[in-house]
Amino acid sequence: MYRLFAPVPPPATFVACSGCDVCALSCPVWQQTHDLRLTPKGRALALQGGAAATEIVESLAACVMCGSCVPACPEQIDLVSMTLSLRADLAAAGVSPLSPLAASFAPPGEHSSPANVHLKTVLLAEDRLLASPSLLAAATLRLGGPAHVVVAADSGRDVSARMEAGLTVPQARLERFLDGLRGALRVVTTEGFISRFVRKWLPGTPVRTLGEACLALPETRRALRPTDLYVVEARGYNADRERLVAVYDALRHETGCDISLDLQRLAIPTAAKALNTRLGIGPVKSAEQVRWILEGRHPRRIVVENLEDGEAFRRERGVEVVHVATLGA
Amino acid sequence: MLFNPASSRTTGATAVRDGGAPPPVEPPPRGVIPPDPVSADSLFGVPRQQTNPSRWSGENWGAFAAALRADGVELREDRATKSAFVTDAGGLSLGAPHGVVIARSAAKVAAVLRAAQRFRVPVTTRGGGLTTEGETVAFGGLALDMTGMSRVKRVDREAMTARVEAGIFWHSLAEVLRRQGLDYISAPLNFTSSVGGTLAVGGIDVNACKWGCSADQCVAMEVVTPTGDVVECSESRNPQLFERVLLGYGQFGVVTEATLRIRPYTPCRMHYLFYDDLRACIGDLQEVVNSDATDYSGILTMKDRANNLLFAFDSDDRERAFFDKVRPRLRGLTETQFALRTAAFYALRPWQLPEALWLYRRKKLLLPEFERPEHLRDGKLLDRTVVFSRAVWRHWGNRTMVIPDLSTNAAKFADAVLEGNRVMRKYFKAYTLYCVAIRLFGKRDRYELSCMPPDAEGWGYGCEFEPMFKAGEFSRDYLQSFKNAIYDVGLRYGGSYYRFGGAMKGYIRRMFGDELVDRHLAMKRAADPAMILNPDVVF
Repeated sequence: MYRLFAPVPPPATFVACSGCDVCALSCPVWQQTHDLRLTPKGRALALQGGAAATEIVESLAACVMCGSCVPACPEQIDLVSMTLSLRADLAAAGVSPLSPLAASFAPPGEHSSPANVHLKTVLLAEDRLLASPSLLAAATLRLGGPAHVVVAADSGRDVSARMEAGLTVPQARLERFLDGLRGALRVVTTEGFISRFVRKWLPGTPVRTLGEACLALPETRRALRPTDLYVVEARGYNADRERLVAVYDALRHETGCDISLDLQRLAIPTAAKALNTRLGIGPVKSAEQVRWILEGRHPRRIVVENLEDGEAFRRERGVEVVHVATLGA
Repeated sequence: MLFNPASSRTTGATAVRDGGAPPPVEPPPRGVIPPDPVSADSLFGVPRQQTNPSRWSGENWGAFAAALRADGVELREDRATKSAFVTDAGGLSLGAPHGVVIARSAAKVAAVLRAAQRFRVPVTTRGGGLTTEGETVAFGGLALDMTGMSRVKRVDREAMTARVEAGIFWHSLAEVLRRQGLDYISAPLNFTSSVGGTLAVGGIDVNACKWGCSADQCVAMEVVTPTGDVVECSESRNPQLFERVLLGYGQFGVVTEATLRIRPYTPCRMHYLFYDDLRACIGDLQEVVNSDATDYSGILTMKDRANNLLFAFDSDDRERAFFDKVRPRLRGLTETQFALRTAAFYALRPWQLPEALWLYRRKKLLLPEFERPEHLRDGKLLDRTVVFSRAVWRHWGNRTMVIPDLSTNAAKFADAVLEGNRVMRKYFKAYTLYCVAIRLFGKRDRYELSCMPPDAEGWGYGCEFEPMFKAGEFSRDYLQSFKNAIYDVGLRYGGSYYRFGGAMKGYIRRMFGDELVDRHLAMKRAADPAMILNPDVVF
């Protein structure tokens, strides 16, 4: 029989993996190791073969959570969730190499009370942005000015780190973090890993990256040049790729600038923000990612959405690096 | 001898030289049944000669593993690693290697093959693992994962060639070349095919009508022979080995590096014509191919009532010339004309409405995949392989796939495809045919015992018969029966097949004849005395 009105299938799991390797094409771990065991496919097929999380510790620890595998997967398996769930198994078994660092991120003080964010933009700013008053002011201005923007006192960095390591986030801590976001007109993030979760936790609240928010302004786009390389914050982009691919395609078309996307239009990460990269464990080296992003490209200026990415480029290349929030100012 | 060691760059080591004579194979003790001389995948009623035990049962594995480790080769025997190698893209042939080695250099591959000869351990090579008949599945022995060698070693803009490690996916090569405004010439429409695997079977693209198969884009290779010599070969250097390894189905050596022709990158403008008659569509494909006026061409069907002739151009000049001279001769309809005609057809046959709705739904689902704006600019397709590959995996990919095929010369092609289509209709409600022309460059040795039809002149034509697996569940026996029926069609038309190895190798002698197969078998025995390299694929 023809299936004219097929029922909506349940979300695909590792069982659906056909081993096509498409996830590997954009995977930075594959790019640097050429070892398929360390890719999402390697993990999915290991599970299909009956392996437990504790048998694939190296693979689980290697992932930098860039999320490029999720939009790439033709079976639409949520490979990030799969890997996080397996990391949770490792943490529960007490063998997670990422747990110690994640647990060291302290939540903000209990006394900080959430600001009134009703109908305002909440900016979840990374530490480096918070430490740079001038850049923070520029970002605030880009988002509508101080009257319309609240810089979250609780950026959720500990929540993000624990999630990335597969550790449980205490419900009370999660609620306190979300209380600072509820009622907001939109949430703007500078680091995309947490954005995929905020989107799930607060359905109905638009979650945008700082890059996208800045690029919505014509003066920002006008300041981009064809000789620029625009470095997308990979985790945020890949988590919302179906929508953002059109935004960045239009940007490329309008400005002529090069963008750190691959041929599948997936964002290539520097992996600078990844927990394992910061710990110095796992095979992915930021410097190598930067080298790959720049291979065959000769930009006169590099525009970043994320300051950690900016640092990674500054270390490797003597090219001017600027933050997107400073463009058109 | 397939190559002249004196003219070769080698590691200086040869097969058994290092380890002495191979250990004798003991006969099985009384009461123990020896390995079956006919493989478990043998087809009912098909007489065959089996030169290897169908399944190797682990003799000498321990000594082999110890020898590899002593040689500094990283051998993995854990469950998690081996799980990735239990099947191929077909998902129907299931086996398990005793261990896995990720290839990292020609020297290590050579060490593996020398030890394999010495201990008579089968070695199955694997790139993207996109075979469908178990050709890259190790039924015991060693799985040699070539994707560990995936670097682009150099790009020569003057010679317009790229030297790559052979495990590289074509897409990864494209990622590097495109940054330099370059592109590969011809590769399968599947971006996780590996270069080495493709060279070993041919590699067909929609531009094969112009450039021939991917193997014809190769100008040189570094090959590790089954006895562990590292040999550089090309048309002028060790040409016999070069010709045998290209389209050789992995029988005569492991490709570790390849030098490929490349070209300046150009986006292409795609055009589609629509047909409700498959024969007319094939006729127009041949008209297009013979005109030599397009850079890409092929047929994709949704059943046989909705046939799509696609063609594309790398330059505006060629496009204009085509529309001036060739298009008027074609019978294809535009999309609107075709929609009207199809609507009228089904309006007169309301009992076929489910089929009409299914076709409409497929069109709504598929066409946007080919028109995603991020891959188009000014009406031109920027990344045809990405677009086609994503569509292929998303809409045809499955954990189980069979894609039987046939190839014939131009004169027989339409009849063969129509007969195959009748088989297809009998077995499946939803399916696709994919037809292309492959330019041939004379009578090259590499075309012998390959997918190239032996009696073709100028172009060979190939057709893949692809069931839509997401439209139903089918048993292994049902699928095998379907494959046999398609292969029987190819046999009747005296053509060849792309996927004749592995589970379908029972057809090899019927198709190619004993004389040719025996000649290749003799070459194989000379090159691979212990018959260890990809042993269950062809012979």
